[in-house]
Amino acid sequence: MVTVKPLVLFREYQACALSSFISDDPDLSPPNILIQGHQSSGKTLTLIRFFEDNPHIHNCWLSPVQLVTWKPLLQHVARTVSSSLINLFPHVNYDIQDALEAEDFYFLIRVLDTVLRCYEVLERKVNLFVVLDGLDQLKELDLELLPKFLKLHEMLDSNYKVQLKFIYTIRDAAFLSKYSTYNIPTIIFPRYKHEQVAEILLHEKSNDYIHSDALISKVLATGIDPDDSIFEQIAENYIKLIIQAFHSYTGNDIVALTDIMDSKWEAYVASITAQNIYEPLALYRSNIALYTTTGDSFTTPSDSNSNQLEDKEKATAYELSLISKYLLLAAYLCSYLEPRYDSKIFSKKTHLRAGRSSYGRRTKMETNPRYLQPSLFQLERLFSIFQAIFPIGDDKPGKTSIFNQNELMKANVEVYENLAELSSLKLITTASAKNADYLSYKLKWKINVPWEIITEISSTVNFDIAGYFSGLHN
Amino acid sequence: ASFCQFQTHLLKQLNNTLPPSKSRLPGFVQEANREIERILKQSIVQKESHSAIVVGPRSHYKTAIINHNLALMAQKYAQQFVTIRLNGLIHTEHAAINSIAYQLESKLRTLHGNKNGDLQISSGSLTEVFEKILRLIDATTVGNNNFSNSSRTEKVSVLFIFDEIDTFAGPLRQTLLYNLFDMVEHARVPVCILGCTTKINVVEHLEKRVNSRFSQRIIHIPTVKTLETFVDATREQLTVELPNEFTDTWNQLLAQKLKDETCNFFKMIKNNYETFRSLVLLKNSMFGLIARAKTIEELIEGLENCKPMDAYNQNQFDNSLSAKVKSLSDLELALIIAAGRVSLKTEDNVNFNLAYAEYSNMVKDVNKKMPIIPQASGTSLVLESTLRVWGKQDVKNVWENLIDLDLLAEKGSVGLRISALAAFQASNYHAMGTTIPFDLRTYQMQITLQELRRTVPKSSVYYSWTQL
Repeated sequence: MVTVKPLVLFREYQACALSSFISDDPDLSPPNILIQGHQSSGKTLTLIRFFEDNPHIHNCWLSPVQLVTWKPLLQHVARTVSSSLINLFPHVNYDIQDALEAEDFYFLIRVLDTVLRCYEVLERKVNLFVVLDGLDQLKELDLELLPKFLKLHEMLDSNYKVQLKFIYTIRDAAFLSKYSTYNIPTIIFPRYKHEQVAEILLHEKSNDYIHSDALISKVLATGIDPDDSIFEQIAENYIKLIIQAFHSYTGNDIVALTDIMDSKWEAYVASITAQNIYEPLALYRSNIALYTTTGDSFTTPSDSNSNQLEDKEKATAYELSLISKYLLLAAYLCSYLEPRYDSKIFSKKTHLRAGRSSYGRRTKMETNPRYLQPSLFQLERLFSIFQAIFPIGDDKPGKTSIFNQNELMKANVEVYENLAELSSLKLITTASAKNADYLSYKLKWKINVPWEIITEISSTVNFDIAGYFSGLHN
Repeated sequence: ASFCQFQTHLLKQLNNTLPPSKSRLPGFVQEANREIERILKQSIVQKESHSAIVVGPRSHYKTAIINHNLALMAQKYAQQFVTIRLNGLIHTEHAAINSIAYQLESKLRTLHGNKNGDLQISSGSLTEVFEKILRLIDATTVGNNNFSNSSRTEKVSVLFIFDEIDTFAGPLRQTLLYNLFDMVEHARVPVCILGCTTKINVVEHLEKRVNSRFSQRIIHIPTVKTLETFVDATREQLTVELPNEFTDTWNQLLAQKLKDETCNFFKMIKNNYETFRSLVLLKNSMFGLIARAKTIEELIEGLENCKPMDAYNQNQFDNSLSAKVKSLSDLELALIIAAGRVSLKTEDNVNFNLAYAEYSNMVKDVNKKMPIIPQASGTSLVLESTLRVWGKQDVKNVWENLIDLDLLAEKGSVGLRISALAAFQASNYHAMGTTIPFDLRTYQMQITLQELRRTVPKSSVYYSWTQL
């Protein structure tokens, strides 16, 4: 065999298997090869390295994730195959096929057939490897797509000088197991282990960090001139510490760890001083905050707990009207409190007539209801709870106002308007998402906002919603 | 160079790409092979019309037998027949008609050496095309129109090879099959139809009128029944017939290995026989062994210890569910155990809120039991003896990882649609799960707590949490 095995860290077996399955001679390599591995397990990297190290093996690449549905995928297969053949054999007389004609698998075969027939003048048989990188990332994937590709070689003449061979990289192991009886040669890329992740990152990133501008300029600013080994040490320490701190957060995902590393590097460099540059421990302590928060968020400011900032954030987080905010709160209460205890919770009027009001809940619930999905409620209930919790306008003492007063909020036009707006903002939704008839008495509603946001909203209007949920459950 | 020649030959043998005279089929399919050979001979040489359906499991020599026989036939009677291949997955009924016309045209053109390139079968509308095909095959001899009642040798047999013929036998009309089977009965041109399918009850799918025209000849590809046949088949597949200095060494070693029931190679075969019973799988695993060997010694050594094959077989399970669980970080593991506990309590309804609540309780309980190590004074690092409770915001990332790794699946979701049409319809339908907030979406566990208990190592901090 004349293939070279590429050197990829911790992928010896996979590289070995690739080089035994892929070769220049069409008779020696199977028509289909499957490669499976989860995100950032080095599938594409190993494959690219393999083809780089074996430039005599022809290949072309497609990424189905960009092609969305099967039709563009087919057209791109046709286009990529013909264009890479033109590049490979410019001397061959070739009449251009319209790749967009490949609107169906049958037409794809026809296009490929005419394309490959043009290359009958070649003196020996060659392989063209078509790599479908991430086939299961295709948006409109179905069960029959892969078998169609698997059988493509049977429909093309096996005597053509150019033989198409397909390599599929696939993320989802469950997808692959649906085709296990086809017995296609498969190479699995397992997830990296903790130590392997550490070694790969040290290998890949330390050079970048040693030569980064931020580090060099900072060290120059401190006015000392350490050896190169110090730079190395600083970078390596940093990488190790980040992995140690965030490995459980990211798992064995190299891409995620790299992102975290890159985002924190500048802050880390900024904390270097002449005192701690020689002492890793002191350096660690000087920026300990970096290792305790992921910083994986766009909203929360990482360190400064200034009140001003927080207030501003609250005010701007949801620019809703007062009515809307109370409507949301009421909707939350409707969805998560049981209707049978409403009268106990919300009724405030002293009863002029005789009669017992509800006793309220006697036993506590098993689980916190807020953890579960919201239950549906009728619009009438929403309005009555809304009225019960909406703050009363200022009482002007005076005789006339006693009789004329309009103490409790009524469901006026604004309330309905606000409700409609909340519904279009998807903060309150209906039971059936499609074509809801808002005027129907059958229509039921539910809140579509998690607890964290509701508490934020309630704190902006100084409404203690948590009080309604205290003592509900064990 | 001589070893290289030997190696190439062996690889071609594994790949089934040897020239037809040299390639062999395994012994246990010979029965089916003979029958197919007879049908093909009858229709190509004796110009009779036949139809048959070949039934056998997936990747079980259906196409291989047909291809092998056709290749042998092509050596002798290349001018006597044209082959038309259709695949039920690739061709819809419309595409199949177009494809028949296209293939007929191009095959006939090569057969007659381009002299009547104006057949014009594949042009026109679909009904025209189909009519032309039918007229061409039905009434006249193919090719030379002036010999309309010509002798037997002048006629060209048309072979139809259907893959996945059961898809043409769908619930709707089955027009194509009807017409083709009808040709077998009535056409003056010898037509042979071979259909391959994996469905054992394929005849039940055929409509009454289609079924009555079908010859009822069903060829079942035999499967391996005993270990001896499997060993024999392995021998046939691996024995090399090549004038080469290494051939004898290899063949002898192979024969010896296949007799010795205690050697690694035999165990490997027996293992395969008892689990998959698939020669193709065995061949796949041998690729690495043969292709990577640089000398005959290396090859022999590989066959002795079977390490490359072992490596292949092990690699197939490197992303299994338990391997995935073992590759999780401690936080991911804690969360999946928490989700498993919740799922056991709530009849398999897990959402992020519940799992996180369980997780934080779990970690708090672990921390309570941790002995408090008095902090060492001085400059040494403060050792954190307790486990860190990660914030809800941070755990969301982990939750998504678990979903991505297929350890959790959205409740009631249909993963992969069967056909392209169903996938298209599903893409227009807005799933309820995507409109509700992240932490409230309901998931199902792909691995239960009991299974987790067996996968998680006993040394893990969370092992004690793998049961309620």
